[in-house]
Amino acid sequence: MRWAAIRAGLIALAIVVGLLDGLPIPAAHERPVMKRRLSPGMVDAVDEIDRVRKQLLEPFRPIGEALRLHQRWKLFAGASRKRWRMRIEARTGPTAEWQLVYRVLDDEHDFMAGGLEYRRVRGAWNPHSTLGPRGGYRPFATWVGQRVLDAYPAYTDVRIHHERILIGPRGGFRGTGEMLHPVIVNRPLRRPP
Amino acid sequence: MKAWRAWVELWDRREPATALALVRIFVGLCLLGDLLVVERYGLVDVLWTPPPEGLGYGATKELWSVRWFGASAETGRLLWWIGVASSAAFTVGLGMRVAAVVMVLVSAQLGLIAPGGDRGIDVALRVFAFVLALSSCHARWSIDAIIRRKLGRPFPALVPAWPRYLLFAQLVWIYFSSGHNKSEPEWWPNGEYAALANAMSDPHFARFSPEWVPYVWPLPAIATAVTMLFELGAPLLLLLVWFEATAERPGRIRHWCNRWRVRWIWIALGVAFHVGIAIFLRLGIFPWGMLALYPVLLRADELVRAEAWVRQRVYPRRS
Repeated sequence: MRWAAIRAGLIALAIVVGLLDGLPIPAAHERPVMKRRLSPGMVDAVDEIDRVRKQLLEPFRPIGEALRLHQRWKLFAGASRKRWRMRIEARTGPTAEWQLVYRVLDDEHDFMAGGLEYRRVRGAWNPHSTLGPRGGYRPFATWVGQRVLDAYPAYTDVRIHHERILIGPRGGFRGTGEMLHPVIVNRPLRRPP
Repeated sequence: MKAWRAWVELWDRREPATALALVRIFVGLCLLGDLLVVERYGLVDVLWTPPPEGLGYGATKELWSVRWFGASAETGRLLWWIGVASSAAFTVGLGMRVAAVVMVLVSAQLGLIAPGGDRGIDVALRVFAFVLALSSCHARWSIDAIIRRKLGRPFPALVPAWPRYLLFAQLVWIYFSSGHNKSEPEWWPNGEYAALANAMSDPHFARFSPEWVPYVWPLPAIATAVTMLFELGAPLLLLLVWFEATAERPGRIRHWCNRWRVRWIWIALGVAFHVGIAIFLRLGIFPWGMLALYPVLLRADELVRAEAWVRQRVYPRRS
């Protein structure tokens, strides 16, 4: 019975810690929006709650960091109409035209489509809805650019970028022609023998 | 004092290990399958290798795996192999507790080395595996159980039920948290419930070319509204379970919920929600990882009946 009581206490502690961690307090990048929407008094109250919450969670922070655990969940919450469509283009020289090698959801330009669209790789190139490119974007561009140059010896440059698209009010999308987050990868010049 | 006693008694209950064993197998299969997909696409030496050869930009000396083995493609491959071995051992229930701990540690390292690829479902699966490591989920359908039977020390027929209750609470919290963190207008009436239409039209996630989406309007809007109801209503599941456990007590709402099997409607909605995601969106193991936890939503007696029904059909002569 003693062990049962200790276990029940530990479970209660785990639940309380989880609920504290999962409190829907705006993250750092959401604070500007919160400050626009809420009165200064409310913003101060939220900040104070967050300060106390962080203090209470401090002893458990190393566990969360080491195991990359949290209790704040967002199942594909980003559903705005402003999205992107990643594309990879290559050219045979500095004055040549860019040719499409890969574009998301394009069966005619599907270089390495399976691997690029695998969720862990997509996590590197799919931009954050408000913060833009993620930390893995540049390493991804360097890697995939090199793969294109390896596969097609005629190409000298590879460009990875995103076209901004606009989703219609009831679905479907159209391209806007606006290109964002370009990264260009060049073939290293061969030294003369 | 009475409340505390009830709390202690709740977490001290016992039941057959069926639900926990099923969750162990499904969670293990999700993690194992995901790692095998990485190999199938030839990405093991890419995902967890430091730049410029790979995407592992998080491979710093702060990580124990990098301190021990260095920041290299070989370290990524070693972690992948350990991940495959531990998730396979976890699935078949061989040295389950050790396998679960190793699997969680390796999954976290892989996530820290390539943070962009570590999604919410990876975090959820680590939480599930962590709780399962403390449970007796290997008391059924496992190599551990076979070994213990051969040694003359079989697992008891009834094991502690608290890990199932905790996983149940975790599932409820994941949905409820997801519901109240959806602050974008597209999830609400002022955004015309356009969220799912937008998600199915986003080329980065859509499985099919999205020209068809406007033609089925307002179905995506109805699905968005139902999703929000489902997620924000998740805590009511606890009440529904209590209503069923106390069916003999009076109360019109209790009687109505039990009569119309509202708990089963909620479970069916959840299954439809995740199967729909699997059909229309490319979110990897997300829908399967969440469905892996669904056996905990069933009562022990329901699983006993379901198992008897399956056995009768698979082995009609024996039964």
